Amino acid sequence: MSEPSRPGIDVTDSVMKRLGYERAPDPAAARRLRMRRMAVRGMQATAATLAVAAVALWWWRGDGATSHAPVGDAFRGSVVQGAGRLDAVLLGLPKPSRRPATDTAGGPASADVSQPRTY
Amino acid sequence: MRREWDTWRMPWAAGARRALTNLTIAASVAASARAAPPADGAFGGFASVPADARLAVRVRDARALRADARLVPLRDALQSLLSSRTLSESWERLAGQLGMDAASLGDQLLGLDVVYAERPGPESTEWAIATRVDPRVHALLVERLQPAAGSGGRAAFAEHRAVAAWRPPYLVVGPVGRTGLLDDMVRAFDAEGDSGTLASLPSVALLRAGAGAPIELVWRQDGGGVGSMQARTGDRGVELQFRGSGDAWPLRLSAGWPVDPAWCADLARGSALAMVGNAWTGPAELAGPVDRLLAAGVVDDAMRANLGARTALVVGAAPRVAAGGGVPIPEAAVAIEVRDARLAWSQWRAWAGRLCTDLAGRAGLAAPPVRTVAPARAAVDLREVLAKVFDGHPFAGCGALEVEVVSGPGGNWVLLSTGADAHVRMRRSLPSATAARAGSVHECGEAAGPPIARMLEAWAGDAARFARESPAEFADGASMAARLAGAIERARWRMRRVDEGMVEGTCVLEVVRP
Repeated sequence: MSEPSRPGIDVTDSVMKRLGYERAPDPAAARRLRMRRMAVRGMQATAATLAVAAVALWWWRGDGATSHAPVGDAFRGSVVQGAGRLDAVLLGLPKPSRRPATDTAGGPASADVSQPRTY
Repeated sequence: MRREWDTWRMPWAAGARRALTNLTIAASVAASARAAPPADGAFGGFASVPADARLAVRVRDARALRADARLVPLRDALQSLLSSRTLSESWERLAGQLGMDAASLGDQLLGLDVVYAERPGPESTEWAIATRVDPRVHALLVERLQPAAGSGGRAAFAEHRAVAAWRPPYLVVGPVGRTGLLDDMVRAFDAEGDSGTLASLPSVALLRAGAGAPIELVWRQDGGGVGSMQARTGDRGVELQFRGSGDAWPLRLSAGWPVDPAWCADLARGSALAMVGNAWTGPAELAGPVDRLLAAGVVDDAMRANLGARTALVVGAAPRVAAGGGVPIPEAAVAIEVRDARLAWSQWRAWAGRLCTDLAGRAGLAAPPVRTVAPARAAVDLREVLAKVFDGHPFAGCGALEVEVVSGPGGNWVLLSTGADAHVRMRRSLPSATAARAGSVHECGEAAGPPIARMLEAWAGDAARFARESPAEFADGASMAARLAGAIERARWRMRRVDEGMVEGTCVLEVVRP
């Protein structure tokens, strides 16, 4: 693109210049142009990302401000949530493994458990 | 029994959860209310709440609670548990609209005398608040928020999705679209007498007959009864008085023999938890962990017939750290009084054997042997079996079980323990049980907050070993529970059965010094 295949044609040259391209007179200048173009595109990408993030932040904050929870429901929700947080302690209690134990035919069975002995 | 064990979903947790929610709602109302003069209790209160409400909380004179420096650690712990960004944003927004700061809004709206009530609605929970406010504050609400006029003189605050009725000097508020409870409360304000309200229930009438407490709580219990609780500040913290049905674990209570609080105090010295009570004589309740453990080894009629009246529990303050695991696990010992020591030894040794067989069957392992390590003392190592049954849970480390029958001046006892320290602690205290021959207490207990808090903190730091599927939630919950436990230096409770289905008791929470 920066090295027109037919540099002698003025029309192409002028069109490319009007489109914003710059003609490099030698390979070193072409490398500089490529580096400058990469830097510009990097800055453009950063600016676009920041813009998207700013819009998202504005939208999120704006949404929170305009559709806030009613105080009563927020109060109750806060209490229920707090109780639920404490409730999570129960998640740490031991629970029987879901893996089925291997069948121990002839081994320790629970038959005598279902028929409790008396003394 | 095996099927029930395999499908265990901790049904007792539901009751605990409900009780916890009720208590946190009560604490939250108290924490939200700020400076206020005392209110008179002659009007409003539980007489404004319909009798079918599931929960009602009344908070009076919250200013004294807030100003009480002794309660600061407990209040801070509760606030960290109950605060949320949504609530603070909503509260601050409302305060801003009224031209005051958030604390002042609490003073003005919740500070005098407030009742919060809720009940199940057709689609979701209905709630309503009746709060005593200065007429000038009501005028400010109307002026600044400009509510729409609704039917029956109601004011609709569209932005806050709330409906309010003004019954001077009470403002009754409820949510838009779920006004059933609000309607009933307004009707109660307009009616003469307290017929059909919570105040007309016998157990609540007892609350009203006594001296009013800053915090009063009434709720429907799982078994259909009505529980009530009052909270007052005392010299060293908070005193709770409870009355309600006592037939379901963990509030079940037998009245076989009065227990001796001095024995409990002796047992509690240096322990994380100690409890002395009457052996439960009702049907076994598989919702409770102790019943479940006993049932796994099968307690037959002959064993029941050999049981005495009393029982005791101790949990050591210095938890054992599992080798290589680093997770502290509690050591516990249970003592159950028996009539015939010789018979008890043969019965309970056989029980240990059946427990091994049952658990090993679940794990698909050979049952570990029950070794007689001393006269009338047996030991069994169930750790490997429990590790398999409980999928490597750290509590499997509690599986070094010892069974001993002890006879002495304190009576005959069978002692089950999961660690040497707890075993020795319980064994040493049993002679003290001789004094338990008078009084009206059927259960008493003590718990020390700091050692429990330390253990919970350690569990939170190793959450993945306790709750593999949701370690973050467990860590958060354990940290919060540790903070609450750390705010309470010691809790002491005494309970007694007053009639067939009713128990009452007191619990003193000594708050740590700020």
